[in-house]
Amino acid sequence: MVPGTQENPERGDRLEPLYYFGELARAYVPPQVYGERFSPAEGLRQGTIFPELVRPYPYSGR
Amino acid sequence: MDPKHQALLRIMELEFTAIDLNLFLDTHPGDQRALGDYNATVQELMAAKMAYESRYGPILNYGLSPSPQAWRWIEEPWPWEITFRAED
Repeated sequence: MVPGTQENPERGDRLEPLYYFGELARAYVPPQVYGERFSPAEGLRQGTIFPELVRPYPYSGR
Repeated sequence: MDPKHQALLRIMELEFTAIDLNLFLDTHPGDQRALGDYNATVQELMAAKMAYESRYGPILNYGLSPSPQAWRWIEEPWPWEITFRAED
C-alpha cells in the first residue's frame, strides 16, 4: 500500500501496490550565495548573470 | 550597429539582469545586496526605456508606454522585423 493514500471502495478505488524500494528521490539544492555577477551584456550572452550557473550543453555539431 | 538597435539591446540586457535578480530574490528575499542591485538595475532600465521611447516611440502599447507627439506604435520596424546578429 502506498503510504498516505486511503483506498476508497465506494469510489471504486483499487490501489495496485506500487513496487518501489525505499525513497524514490530526495533533491538537495545547495543554497546559492550572492557573489560576483556578469555585466548585463555578458549575462544576456551567457543566459544567466550568475557565473556559477553557466552550464552549457557541449554542442556536438550533429 | 545603429544607435536605435544599440539602445534596444541595452534595454534587453538590463531587463535580463532585472529578471535574473528577481528570480534570485524570490528564493533569497532577505539578501540586501541583491535587492540593492535589483533596484539600481530597475532605475537604469527605466531611464534607458524613457530615453529610447522619447527618441524612437513606444516600446509597449495598451497603456504601458506613452506616445506623445504622434501615434508611433504603428511605425515600422515591428519587433519581429529586427534581427540581432549573433556576434552583437
